[in-house]
Amino acid sequence: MNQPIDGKRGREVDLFDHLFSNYQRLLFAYIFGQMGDRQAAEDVLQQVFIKVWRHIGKAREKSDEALRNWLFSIAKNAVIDARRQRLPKLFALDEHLPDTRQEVHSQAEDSEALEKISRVVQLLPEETRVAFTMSVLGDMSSDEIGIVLGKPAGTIRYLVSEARKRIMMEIER
Amino acid sequence: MKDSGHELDRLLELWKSELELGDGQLTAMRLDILAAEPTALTPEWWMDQFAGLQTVFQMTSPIRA
Repeated sequence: MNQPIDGKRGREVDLFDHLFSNYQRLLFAYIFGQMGDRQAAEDVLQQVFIKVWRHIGKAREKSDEALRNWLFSIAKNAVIDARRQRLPKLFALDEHLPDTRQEVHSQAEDSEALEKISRVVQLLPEETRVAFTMSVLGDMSSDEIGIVLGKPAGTIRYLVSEARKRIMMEIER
Repeated sequence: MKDSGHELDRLLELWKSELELGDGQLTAMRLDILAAEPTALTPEWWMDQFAGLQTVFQMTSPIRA
């Protein structure tokens, strides 16, 4: 086994890999909820981890809770930056969404249902969308989401339930 | 109506699997990120990483040798 990098750098790569594998899904869920767009969420996720890698030295001394707060705070700022650049495009996207109420389907197939889910999720109020994507895509509990978003777990449960109701209504229409 | 909750759960699982980043995407993203500070890592390390990346894409590619 060769030693391609020195011990300190090797430990930093290990720490980065640990954070990347443990948090990429949670952060993607959060970012996707904020951006409402998969490609944009991927780009922002990459920016987040570039920042993490550049400041990986700061992560070494942090507790698990402090690490999570640090990562989500980087993600929050990255979303703000990205939205500032993409704002006109996001509004344009909403305006051009087709009205699914005019579509008539005798039998909803999975692909149609998935498209409906994506459309409904995009049109959810931001707070609801973020809670929902963190719950479904991030598999996070209401308590965990509440900590990240600074809201009571009961509120998160309500928001997720509202999102499910809206999606259900759209699918059954 | 009684099974609509289960049906929604099933569809949401499908939706989730469509959105999740695949192994190949994640591996490539990881290398892109680490390349943000390429001088910190040696050429030998990068060669190891690219060999690993090639393996991931060979495993996930529909075209096999």
